[in-house]
Amino acid sequence: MTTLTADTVPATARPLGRRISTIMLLQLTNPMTLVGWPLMILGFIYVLNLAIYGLISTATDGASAIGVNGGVGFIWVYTLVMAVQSINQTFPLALGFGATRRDYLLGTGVLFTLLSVGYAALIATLAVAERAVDYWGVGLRFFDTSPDFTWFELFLGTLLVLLLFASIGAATASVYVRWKATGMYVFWAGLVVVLVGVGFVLTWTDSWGAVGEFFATAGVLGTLGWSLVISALGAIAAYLILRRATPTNT
Amino acid sequence: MTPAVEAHGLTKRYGPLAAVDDATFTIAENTITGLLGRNGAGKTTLMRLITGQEFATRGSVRLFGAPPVENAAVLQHTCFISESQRYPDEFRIKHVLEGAPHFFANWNTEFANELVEEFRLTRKQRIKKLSRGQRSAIGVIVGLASRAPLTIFDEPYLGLDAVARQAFYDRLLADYSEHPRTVILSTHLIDEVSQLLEHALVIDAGRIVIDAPVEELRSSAATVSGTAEAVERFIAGREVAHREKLGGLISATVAAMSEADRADARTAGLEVGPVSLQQLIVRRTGGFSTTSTTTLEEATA
Repeated sequence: MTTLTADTVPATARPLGRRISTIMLLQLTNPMTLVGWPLMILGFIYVLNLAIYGLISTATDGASAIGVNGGVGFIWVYTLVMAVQSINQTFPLALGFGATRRDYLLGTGVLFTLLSVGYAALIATLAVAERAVDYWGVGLRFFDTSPDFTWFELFLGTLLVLLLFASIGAATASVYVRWKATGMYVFWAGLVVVLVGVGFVLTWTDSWGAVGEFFATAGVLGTLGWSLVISALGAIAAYLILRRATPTNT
Repeated sequence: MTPAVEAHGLTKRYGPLAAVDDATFTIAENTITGLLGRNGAGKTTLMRLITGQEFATRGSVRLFGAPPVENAAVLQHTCFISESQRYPDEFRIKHVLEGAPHFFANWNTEFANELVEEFRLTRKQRIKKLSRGQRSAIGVIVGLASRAPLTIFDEPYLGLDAVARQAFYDRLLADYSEHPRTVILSTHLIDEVSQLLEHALVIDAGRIVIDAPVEELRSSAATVSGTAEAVERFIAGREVAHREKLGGLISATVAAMSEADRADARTAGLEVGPVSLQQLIVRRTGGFSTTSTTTLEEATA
């Protein structure tokens, strides 16, 4: 039946780096999704806040608002949203294009780690810049969540937070991709049960004080350091769940 | 030569339902195979098993000689265009055309651009805003331009108009003859694609019921028509798949027609004509009784 000579199909896979970058490039093909929109929205929130703080400052004759603004938290939550959407939307496509689940997951893991590093560096830099301009004289501590942190501490803290949110997003998305709505019900119900259970145990054993003490002793960076455990568990869960997932287009 | 696909006793069960049931077949390299069958017959599941997207319950499948599940070495040679492929929400056509080439060693950008024009699309269009047929066209473009050694089209024409479907068939055939590769085309528009197909794999209720070259299938049966009396005399004792009566005339589809049979029929003053592939398969997957099933299978084995 076969009369034409086939180019012999190469029997070895392309190098892992190549396969991983392919996955990253697919998710970055439209750079707006993971870079453009979040930066624009963050910028918009910032400008809005600046305007409001400016108004307050004018209205109160320069008595500036004090304390952390918290607006930068947008990027934390949005990192979770990005992880969920990106995995849910590109996993079936990548597998249709001949990627393995493993390569997809590694590529996505590297991509979100790099994105987190990038966003953390950006936010740490903007925080330091805010200090340099004395929060525009209106007390807008938007990026600078911890005024006594160095650039590196700000970077590290933000990175840990972003990794935490990204891995929770990845784990959630994996549950959805593999088990769809049913998975979501079980997942959220299970999570609530676990959290209530933990609260119950802590109350039962009268350990809330110890928990508070733990966070106090660990400090902000120490606590965030411990978050790596959750981040790692989330990433491992995402990996294990998606390794047996079948892509669907519904 | 290693077959492109080789399956032995391949089975996929979802609870009590066997979506693919004990399928054993091979697909030769550089052929166009039609995977034909009714809705829910197991076509998609079978293709997903071939590309390692689905995990087999039992049996084995080999893709270019190796198990496909999580095997980058062979999966990198595949392109699976799903019937309702979803694309990321913010993708425009150009994003698909920019993201896809990294996956496929043989991707041809020029060809892709030509196809975009042929299907009257523009690179700037947002995929979310496209019609069903236009989204199908994107799959067709990617599948063709990928020139993947194993390209699978799962009902690629949904919503495509007749002109676009013809363009797809023409392009596929032309490009295939220049760049031979293995193509699996799942469809229920059997007659439309029958000219393309070299091999037919018919699946019904999860089981492979026909696995034969299309030529052989076509010659395995014929319609015999003429006066009722002459036809009745000729078909007596033969395996008749189907008959139609119109006034005093009868047209009967007869399985297993040898050259001698055909000559006999002509001598008896009957007209012998070809049977469409669709007719054959419709009979086979819906109409045939068990005995005739065996006959046709024997005829096409």
